[in-house]
Amino acid sequence: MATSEDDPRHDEGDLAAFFEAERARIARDLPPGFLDATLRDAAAVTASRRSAPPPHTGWRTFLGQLGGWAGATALAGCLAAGFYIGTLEAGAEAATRLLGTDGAAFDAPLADVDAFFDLAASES
Amino acid sequence: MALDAQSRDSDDDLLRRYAGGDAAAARALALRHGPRLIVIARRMLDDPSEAEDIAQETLLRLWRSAGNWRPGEAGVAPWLTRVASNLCIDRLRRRRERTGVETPETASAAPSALDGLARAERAAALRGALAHLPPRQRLAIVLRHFDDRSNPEIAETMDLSVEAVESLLARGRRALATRLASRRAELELDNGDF
Repeated sequence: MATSEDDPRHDEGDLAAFFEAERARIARDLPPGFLDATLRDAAAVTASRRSAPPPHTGWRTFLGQLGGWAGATALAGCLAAGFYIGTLEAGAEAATRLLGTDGAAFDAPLADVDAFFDLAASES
Repeated sequence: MALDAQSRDSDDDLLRRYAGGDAAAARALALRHGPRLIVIARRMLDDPSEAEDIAQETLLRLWRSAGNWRPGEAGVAPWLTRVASNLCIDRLRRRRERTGVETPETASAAPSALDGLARAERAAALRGALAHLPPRQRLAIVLRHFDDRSNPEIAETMDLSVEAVESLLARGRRALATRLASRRAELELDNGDF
């Protein structure tokens, strides 16, 4: 509810006569041509909104968020590379577990074989 | 149904209808808010042609925002006032950068030969004094005294506290009173008129 303090005239004091004169000067009418120009703007905005492509929905929104086809392709490539590398690593670990030894131990039998042939050569 | 400024539809409703392609809703909004925007801009810029530009630009921004408008979040009227106010202040700053003064190049402060009435002279004197106020003081005075906004509404529009608005208004009125003091006798305003 408006109170007397909401009324600007309440605090105009010595300036009241000036404010009153200025208030009376400008009619609150629209100048000629203004409404037409504004409605032309409104129609142009409506037309551009209608001609704009529809907003993306569902997977197209998701694709857009990834950065389009280029982004999605790059991401898929990274995923495939990560999977491949991860699989190789997992395969190596599994082989190690299966053999019950580590990589360094693979050299030992070979060394033993060499020693065997060295021994054989010395005996012959 | 034809819509006009007196339509009972809320601003939010009209804007939603405009966003849906209803040109009559745009017309109702323009009729409802256009005159007020022009009056604010005219008092800020003291230039009828620039004031129309500001009002048209403000409404154009409303049309562009219609599709994303969230009803109830920001009232259309305060939003429009804020946009128009900012555009006016930008325009005043550009004027000052260009010419060194904020007053329009086409001085309209002097009354025409035909309106020699004291009222017209008082109005012209006030416009002249308003033109010397800093933009934010001027905006606060215009919104308070010519757009009948309450101090909290002005605070919301200007993104200030109510106390800051009261301070702006007090300083603005003091500056106007000082500048107009010398014109009192000339404008036949003796103390009895105040």
